[in-house]
Amino acid sequence: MSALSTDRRRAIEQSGWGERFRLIQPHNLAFWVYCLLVAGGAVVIAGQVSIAAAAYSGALTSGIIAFGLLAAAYLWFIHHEDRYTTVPRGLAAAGFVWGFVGATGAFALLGNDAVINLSAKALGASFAFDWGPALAAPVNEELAKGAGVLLLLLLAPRLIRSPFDGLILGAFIGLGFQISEDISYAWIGAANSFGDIGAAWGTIFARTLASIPSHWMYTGVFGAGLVWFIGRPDVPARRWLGAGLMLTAMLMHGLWDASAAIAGDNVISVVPGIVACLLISLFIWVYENSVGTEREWMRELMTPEVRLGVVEPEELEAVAGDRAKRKNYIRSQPNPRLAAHVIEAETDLAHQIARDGGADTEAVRSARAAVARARVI
Amino acid sequence: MADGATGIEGSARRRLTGMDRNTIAPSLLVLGLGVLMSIVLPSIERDAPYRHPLRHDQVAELAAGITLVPTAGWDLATGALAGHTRSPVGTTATTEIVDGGVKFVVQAAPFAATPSALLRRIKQISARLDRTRGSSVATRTYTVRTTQGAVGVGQDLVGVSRQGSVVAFVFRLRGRATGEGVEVVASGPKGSISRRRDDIVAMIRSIRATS
Repeated sequence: MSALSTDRRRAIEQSGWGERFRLIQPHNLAFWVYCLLVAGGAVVIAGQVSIAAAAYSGALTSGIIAFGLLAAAYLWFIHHEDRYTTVPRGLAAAGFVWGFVGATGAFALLGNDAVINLSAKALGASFAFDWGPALAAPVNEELAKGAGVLLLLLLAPRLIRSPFDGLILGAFIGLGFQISEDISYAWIGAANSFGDIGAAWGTIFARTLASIPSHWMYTGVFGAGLVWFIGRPDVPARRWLGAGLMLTAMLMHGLWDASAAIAGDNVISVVPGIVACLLISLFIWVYENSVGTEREWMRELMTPEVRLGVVEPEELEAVAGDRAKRKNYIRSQPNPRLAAHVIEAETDLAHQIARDGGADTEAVRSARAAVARARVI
Repeated sequence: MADGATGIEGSARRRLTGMDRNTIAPSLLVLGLGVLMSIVLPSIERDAPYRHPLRHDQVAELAAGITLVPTAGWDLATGALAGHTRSPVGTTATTEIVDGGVKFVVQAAPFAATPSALLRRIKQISARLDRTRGSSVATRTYTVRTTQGAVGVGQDLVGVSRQGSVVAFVFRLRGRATGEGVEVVASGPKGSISRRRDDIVAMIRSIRATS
């Protein structure tokens, strides 16, 4: 293709699609703060892991294996949902590491203990028993994880261009935090039960069941809220919406942590169920209200391919459409498997065009050929 | 590329002491938050006094169905007072009562064997932990009896500057297939713990099954 369409050029510029992520930026203070706090967090976590490895190695290993598998499943899911202008792997990894090491070790572990103990000293241990975690964790942990979104926004301003990017990056950070916390709860469960590994598996089972309405969702909502609050070059700041989402993420987290105290003597608490429904609904609402920009970028990027005859107009609707549109299109085709392959190849083509800045490179031509091959395989 | 609408982008060429100017304030905000949570708050907490010393009429709920009468004047650092919490206390719970430098920590959890077996398990874990945090010398084991008649086993531990005792009980509670193990660890500086010996013995003897 000799002439790029204006829309395609604009889509690539606005989205930052295809840009590479560089963590090492010596002139960017965010890089040094990121490294310092991740290193500090690693020291704190290493102290805990040394205890776990010495006395509760079976529970620690079980936690690492079980939650490692859970992490792989969620990483796949989040990456799958980020199908338009995908967050680069390096940026996603930096977010996961921040959540796993920095936000836990350098912020939450020490900060939560301090707030809970302070509430016990000032208001009594029974108050802290009921409400301490609900007071400490939502504020400390959401700010700790949100700090990661802010640092990575400073490190990758051309890549985080929409609230949807904040949602996805926040989900990666929250997932890192969640898995780190899950692993520590597994061996702490054994430690609190005289080293009984069965208690660790009980914790693993319970935490896995409760893994959907958890940190990856809180921080996804918080991350989108932060991006809306700050604004991006092509997404005007919406301060009330942004602040509201960040506060709502904290509120949901607080309600979840306070559910036992709210329920009191009731054997079955409805609070976790209500919070889970509200959080999942909120996450979907944020997704639906932020993904439009990404879909529009995909459409603008791929429209010239329709003119070139590489992509059919209805295929473009499926590639740039939501899950339902894509599924309906695939099902409506005489050979749905073949149609799915074509859509996949066209998505790969979009990523290749973005990576090459819209130029008609050998790799782009090869990706176009792959689309043609997918039609006949 | 379009830039500069939010201030995050700014100009990479405007630098202050070698750093991109637009990254300084937000990065320092994050650093400040980290310092607040990891250094300032823990430091404030360490210096803060307990404002609710335990009274004569208060009873600590160690786990579902097991209580202890704490010594008046000590402070409940972690745990629940019977009748004072909304959340139910489960079968696995930790209670920490402190006075000066002395800590009285009770861990309760289901345990399906004898007090001697529980003490052996506790010592095995301690031996593994000693490799990472320094060792202590253990004395012979002895029998401990609560006022309710429950029999446990105990052992004294002596370290370089601290000493203490570990006592293990296993309570058989009505309606539960598995016993409830209770581990008591009282530790502190040598002089402090000697002065509080009677308080510690009284608290151990007051542990009772309520169901």
